[in-house]
Amino acid sequence: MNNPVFRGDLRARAASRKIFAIELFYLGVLGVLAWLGMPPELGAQPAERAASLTTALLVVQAIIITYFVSACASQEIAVETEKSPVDLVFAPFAPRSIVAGKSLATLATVGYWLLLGAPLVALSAGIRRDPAAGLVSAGVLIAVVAWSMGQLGLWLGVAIESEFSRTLAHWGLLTLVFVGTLALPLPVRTINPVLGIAAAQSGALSAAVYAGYLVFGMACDAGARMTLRRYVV
Amino acid sequence: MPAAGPAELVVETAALAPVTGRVTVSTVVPFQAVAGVVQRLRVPVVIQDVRRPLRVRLMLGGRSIAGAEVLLDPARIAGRLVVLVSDVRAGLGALRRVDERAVDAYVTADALPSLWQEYTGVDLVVLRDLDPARLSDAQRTSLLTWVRLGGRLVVIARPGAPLPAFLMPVLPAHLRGLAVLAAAPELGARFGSPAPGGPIAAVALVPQPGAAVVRAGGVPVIAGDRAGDGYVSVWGIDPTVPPLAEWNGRTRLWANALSVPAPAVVDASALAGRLGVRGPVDRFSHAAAGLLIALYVGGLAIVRRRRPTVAGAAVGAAAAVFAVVALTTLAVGARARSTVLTQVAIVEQAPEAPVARVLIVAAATVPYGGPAEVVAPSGATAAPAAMTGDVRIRWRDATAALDSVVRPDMPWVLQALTAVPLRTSARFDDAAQTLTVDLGIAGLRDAAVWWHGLVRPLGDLPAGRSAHRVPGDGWRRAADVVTDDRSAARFFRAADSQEPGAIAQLSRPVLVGEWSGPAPAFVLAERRRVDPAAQDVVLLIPIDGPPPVVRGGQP
Repeated sequence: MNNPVFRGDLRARAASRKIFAIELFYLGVLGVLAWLGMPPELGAQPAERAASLTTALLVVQAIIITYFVSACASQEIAVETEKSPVDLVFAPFAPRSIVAGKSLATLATVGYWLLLGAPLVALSAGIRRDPAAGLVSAGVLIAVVAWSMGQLGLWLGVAIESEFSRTLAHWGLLTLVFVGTLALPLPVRTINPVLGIAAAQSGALSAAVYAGYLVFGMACDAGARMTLRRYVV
Repeated sequence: MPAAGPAELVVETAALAPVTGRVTVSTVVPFQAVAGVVQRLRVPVVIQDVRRPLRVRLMLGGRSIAGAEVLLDPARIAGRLVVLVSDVRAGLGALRRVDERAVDAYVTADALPSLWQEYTGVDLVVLRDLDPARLSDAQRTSLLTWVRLGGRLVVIARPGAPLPAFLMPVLPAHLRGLAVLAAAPELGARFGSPAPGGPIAAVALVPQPGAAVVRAGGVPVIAGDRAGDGYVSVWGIDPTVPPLAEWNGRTRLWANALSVPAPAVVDASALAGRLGVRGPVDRFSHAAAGLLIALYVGGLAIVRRRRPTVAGAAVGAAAAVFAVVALTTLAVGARARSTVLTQVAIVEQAPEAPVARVLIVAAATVPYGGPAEVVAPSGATAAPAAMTGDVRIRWRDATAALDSVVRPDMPWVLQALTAVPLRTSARFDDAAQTLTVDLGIAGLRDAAVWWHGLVRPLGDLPAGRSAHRVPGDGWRRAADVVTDDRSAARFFRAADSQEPGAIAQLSRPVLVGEWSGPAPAFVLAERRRVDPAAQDVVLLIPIDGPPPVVRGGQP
């Protein structure tokens, strides 16, 4: 909390109309899905169908949070009054302080959005008696994935000056994580967030996946710090 | 046990499910382990697929500390099972000539079950060397109950040894004393092969009135009589030891003892299809959820718009926590209101015995799917009637709780077997025109006499003792009655058919109706009470006396 970059970003995001709109969009999508998913499916279902509507809700939550968090971090979505890392270097703040502050702001945003979506997930999970432990595991995975992708966005925002190239790289990497990882062989394929959420819900997800995303996020942090040092006079 | 603490014995059996493929039924008996002490546990297990091994695991403090696989010997899988309680593992060799599917099992007294339902696969129990002192009260009660509910028992009287006193209520004879038979021509005449020459050591019997008696040399040596729905014989001769062990007539003797199994009055698998399973859709909860979601998102939007600060965001977080509680409560309530347990209990009064057999078939409908737990009545053995997924049966004291993950598109069907103390009766007078009924504490709705494929409706019968005229007219074909899906008669329809099932083949008439008395039932673990609107209780009382008169000729 002593980090001025973190405090500044929190204030900027709390006051931002764009963030407000993102939250409304996010809750609107989740709310509609949760409500439409309430009536029971009484028709015959194929035996191989294992995923529940709660899993679908968690996947949508993961996609929305991950995209918007990383888009804000990479400045693809410019949050009003929020300073970019490069601007902050000239403020002047130390790269370590900037990256730590931005990282904490991303983590706080992810946590806040997960909390806002929790009632709608609870409605879907409660009516189907999905186990709470599985929901917590899936929530932690979403937080870890979204935070690490946010850190990737932060690095891209520092490393790539061209807005178009940055957006292209951001979308390309998100597609790689959410779609490209499906081509991997098992058991590595569970690093795919969609498959990972289903596995986390059933308690079958390896701790290595959580650790992998954490290490990836920290590596992006380190990359962003090193890149920012180039701007230090 | 290597250490003390909470422990579980888990027995896993494989089964095949039509939709989901292979599933596992786990039976779990929790117990308190005592370090360094050998503990014996009884685990009632219904084996669904005899070709697959049973997996037995011992858990201590949540950790598996031992395990074993038990393969069933195909040669020991019986079409008909005869259990001989004897110190000598011999004497049942003639069984193969009676029925090639028959399998013998020699046991000692301590192997006899404590639950009468565990005798379900047994066709005949023979007591030869039974020291009653070695039996627990539960073992005695279970043997007596099984006999009264249809079991067949032979007690071989041994010279100098009294008959087990706990069996006296069902024994057709008591002992007079030792007899030495010089010759036994009556045995040869009765059982189709001359008995070996004497002397034959025997125990002379004093038959009870009404018992069927076989004499040898003028001495009663075999007596048999019905005991409830079962049949008990006392043999004063011993065909398991010389000289009768080589007698050819013992084949017919054993065949008579084994007899032909009586058909089950109802087919448990067919009952589920007759339940009229209903799954209400809780529209109120859907509307309430929509309103709460709108309130939550709208309220959050108003707060965040009016206070675009960190404090405003904190208020939003508090609202989210509140909404989690509210929406979870709503969801749990909606699930509980939508989950329905529909069931039928078929209560079969044992004739002239204070006990009734109860078969319960229940269908749990869980429209939202997911885990469900159902508790069987105390003392009942319970198992899934149709496989839809993995099932865990957890025994605590004498109560089994079954849990499984239920699919939303099909009910989870369970069955339980138990016995209840009950003494109801029905009897035709000598002219077979008046039926005297004693229903005890509760009346019978839509009662009818069923006999050989015909049904004579009687209407509602009051509790207690009453007499009713049953004229020879008014009989209907059972095939017409069982097609009515609103009457209890539908439960007697044969599986995959519109015709009446085994009830049409019973040797004696029965009084059938919907009983308003208390009956054991499954309950949903989350509710712990029975929904009377979703429970049918059908009582069958065998009718004594002459068969009823049917105008137009007997069936």
